[in-house]
Amino acid sequence: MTQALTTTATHAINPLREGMRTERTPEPCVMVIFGATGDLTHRKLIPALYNLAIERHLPANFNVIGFARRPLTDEQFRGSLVESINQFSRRRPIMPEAKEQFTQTIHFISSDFQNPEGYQRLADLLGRLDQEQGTQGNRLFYLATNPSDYPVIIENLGASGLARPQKAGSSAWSRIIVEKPIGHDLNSAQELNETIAQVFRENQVFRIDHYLGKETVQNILVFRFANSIFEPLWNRRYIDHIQMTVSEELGVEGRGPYYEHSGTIRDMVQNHMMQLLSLVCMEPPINFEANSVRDEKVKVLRAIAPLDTDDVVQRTVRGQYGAGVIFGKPVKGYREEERVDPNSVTDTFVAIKLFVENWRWAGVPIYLRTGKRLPKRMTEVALQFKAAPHRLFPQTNIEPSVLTLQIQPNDGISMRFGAKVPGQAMQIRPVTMDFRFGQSFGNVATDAYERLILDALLGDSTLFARRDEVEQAWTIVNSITNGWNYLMTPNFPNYESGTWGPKEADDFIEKDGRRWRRL
Amino acid sequence: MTDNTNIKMFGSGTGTINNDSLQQIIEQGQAHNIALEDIEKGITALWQATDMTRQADSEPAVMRACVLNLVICTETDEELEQATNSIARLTWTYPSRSIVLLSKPNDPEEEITAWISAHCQMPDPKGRKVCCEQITIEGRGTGAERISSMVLPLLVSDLPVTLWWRYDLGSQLNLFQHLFETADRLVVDSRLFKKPTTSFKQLADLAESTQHKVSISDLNWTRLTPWRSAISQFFDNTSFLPYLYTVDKLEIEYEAPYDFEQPNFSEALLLVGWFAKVLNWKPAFALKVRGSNASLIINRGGQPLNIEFHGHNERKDELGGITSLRIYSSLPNENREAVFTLTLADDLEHAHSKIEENGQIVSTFSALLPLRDVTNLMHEELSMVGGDSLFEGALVYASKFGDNGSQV
Repeated sequence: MTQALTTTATHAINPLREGMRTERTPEPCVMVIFGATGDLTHRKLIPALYNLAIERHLPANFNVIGFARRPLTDEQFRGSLVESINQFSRRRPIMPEAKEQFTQTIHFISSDFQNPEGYQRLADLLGRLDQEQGTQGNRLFYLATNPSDYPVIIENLGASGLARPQKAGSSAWSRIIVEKPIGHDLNSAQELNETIAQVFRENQVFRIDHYLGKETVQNILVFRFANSIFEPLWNRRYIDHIQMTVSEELGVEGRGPYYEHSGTIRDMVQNHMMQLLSLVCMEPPINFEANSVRDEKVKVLRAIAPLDTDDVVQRTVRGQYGAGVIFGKPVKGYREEERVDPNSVTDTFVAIKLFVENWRWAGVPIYLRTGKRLPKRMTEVALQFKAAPHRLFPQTNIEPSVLTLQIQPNDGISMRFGAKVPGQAMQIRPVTMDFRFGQSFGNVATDAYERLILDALLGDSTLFARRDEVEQAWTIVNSITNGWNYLMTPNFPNYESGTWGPKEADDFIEKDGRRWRRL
Repeated sequence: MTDNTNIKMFGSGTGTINNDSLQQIIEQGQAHNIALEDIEKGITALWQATDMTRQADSEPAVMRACVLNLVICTETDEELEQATNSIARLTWTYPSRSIVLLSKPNDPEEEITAWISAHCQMPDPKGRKVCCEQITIEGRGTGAERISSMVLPLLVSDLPVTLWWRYDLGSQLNLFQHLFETADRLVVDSRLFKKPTTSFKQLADLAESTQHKVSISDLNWTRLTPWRSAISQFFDNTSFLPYLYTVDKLEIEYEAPYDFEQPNFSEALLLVGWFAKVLNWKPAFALKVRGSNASLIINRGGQPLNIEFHGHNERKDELGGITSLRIYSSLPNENREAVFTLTLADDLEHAHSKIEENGQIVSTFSALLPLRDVTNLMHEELSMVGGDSLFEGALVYASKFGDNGSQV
């Protein structure tokens, strides 16, 4: 990642870019957004592009083409984007001067995704922009549509020749960002990846997981590999177990149909939690180039054996929220949510125990816990250390030391250890040493989409998932969902909104002589 | 607790600290006078007592944070106030122990006095209040010569020391030398220099003499960051890149004083120093100054390159600031010539850029070029870990432009 800061093609050829403090600027290019009238485009992509433009991270002749079914003119499309910027940009409202400049670089093509004629118009427009704006044949395609539209778009990009540089031997590039979910299970993920591979080479493909764009997730690597004090302890010899929690107080928020199809295990575990787990457990890469980092991450996933049915019984708990109270407000149960089957058996909570079977982690349980309508929004990874080998202070109960990587909301790192309570008696009490990013670096406004779009424009795929990572994560998740298919569905709903999940989740860890952290 | 700590109230006699005065330090940022030998003890007492200022156990504790030692020299009460305001804002991003020296050598009194105060911020409404301390030391009369001795014992161990020096390097030489010896980083603002090229030369020599172990920064270079970025954008387009190597003429407009006061070219000189460093231009003839205008001839690979500086009188508050830049370049073999123009917009937030090729406008865009005060500039400087070799290279060139010519 860090190396990529200084090794873009633009910087190599423009000597004025050397040693520039303002960070990386990509080469002139066009970004084509499929699904340009959708929620993701309006809430995330366009505000991110506007912020990048206003902060001079984009090249002067950067252009955006929206591609969607709705019959809009350029002007209508631009108007709707201005509204999105005014509503969702962290630099809102749009600056009058920038409005003119930014929106003039945005274009719209109205077409069905199946219609080859739409892709011809896209090719014509791209050709014209190359001529007029000097965008040099560089394109970034962004799939912000319903996942069911991905194959047809990819096939049409291939058929129209847009997936490959236009001139043989030119340095022009063509890349594609694919939003999650990448498939619904291993088979469909492999199928989609195969469709992509028929048109794009793997180094052109950027599978986005916005969790990886978060500063604190990236900082896991810095914390582990830029400091020599933690890594020697980061193994089975000193770590008793690891707990990963991704909790949300929100329910499905109108996404009932999507959630009915995915459930928590597909929505959170297959992507975000597997990515976190691989960053926490990976071996040091030989350098910070994209494939070196991703090679190590995928090794972790390969070291997790798929669960058989007995494992699924012993090592997983699923739950679904019922009605309850959160922050003083009564909330509905999952089955009462809009567009959700009143008899739904979809999981909204999952707890899983996994083992990374390699030299470093053999025998160390990794407990994952994620769910909706839990008491608060929180993402953290806690490494609990083993007890001291000899009880020197038998008269006092010593809590284990814990190192916690807090991802959100209060991103930082904290260490809990025992200290003597001042006084005549030998009493030991746990104390916490906290580091908060906000306290040492201030509140730096960063947005995961800004970071990741910029990385894709620069061709840095370190923070994107590779095909083998995605498929390996599906292999693990598939083994669990297959096991569930053979088992009786629990008596849903089995936890009250505003609690930390079903009682079985507590039993499940307590039978190992451990307990969930109180968050 | 702190009930019997020897802390004096601001401007009053020795008193004892109590919860009210602690509240004033933490909540209101008030400064409290303290005996010199008790400064460290007073600060320790202050942080031990922060817990007392909480309204209830449920309220998050106050957090003391410190990532660097920041030493600032001032000469007047007004400068002290400016420094204090800057520190209060810098603590958002760079919590530090700040030591502010107020030197008044001409004061009839001969005394050294000290105050401690706290700057507290709440980074997150639900989070802890983050506080850091400011120690202010005032030296009057001969006391001014001795205040530098207060700095070394007050530095927080093992944290880098940044010296923010606001004057020409020749002034208060003793004090500067003492402080510079303890510093890992020196930050100056050449816009405030009375003799920029002389001070540039001293700065370049200083960097050389420490073998670049002390990082040197100039806030005027920081002001150039967005200009350099916007200029670079012209040449990101490969079709315009060849023009960069065949520049014939450079025109820079800057804010000059209304009257016939000495203009300060330092920002413009650093910009030219940057071009020279990156494009291997060599000084040919020394800078010639005519009122608020000046000219310089550079050797660009054996070809003369004219650089003109034009003074404008638009704004009093940004004297020395660049307002416009024009690069003239030609590619005779291809019958192409171009003018690259970057002009600060009236809103002082943007710059308009324009590329004209063979008399036709081929590209226009506007770049964000916000007017930044010194605290914003300091933020950018502190974000740099280690030195900026590009600046040091540009500085060496800028220091040579005045050679054999008139001093500006």
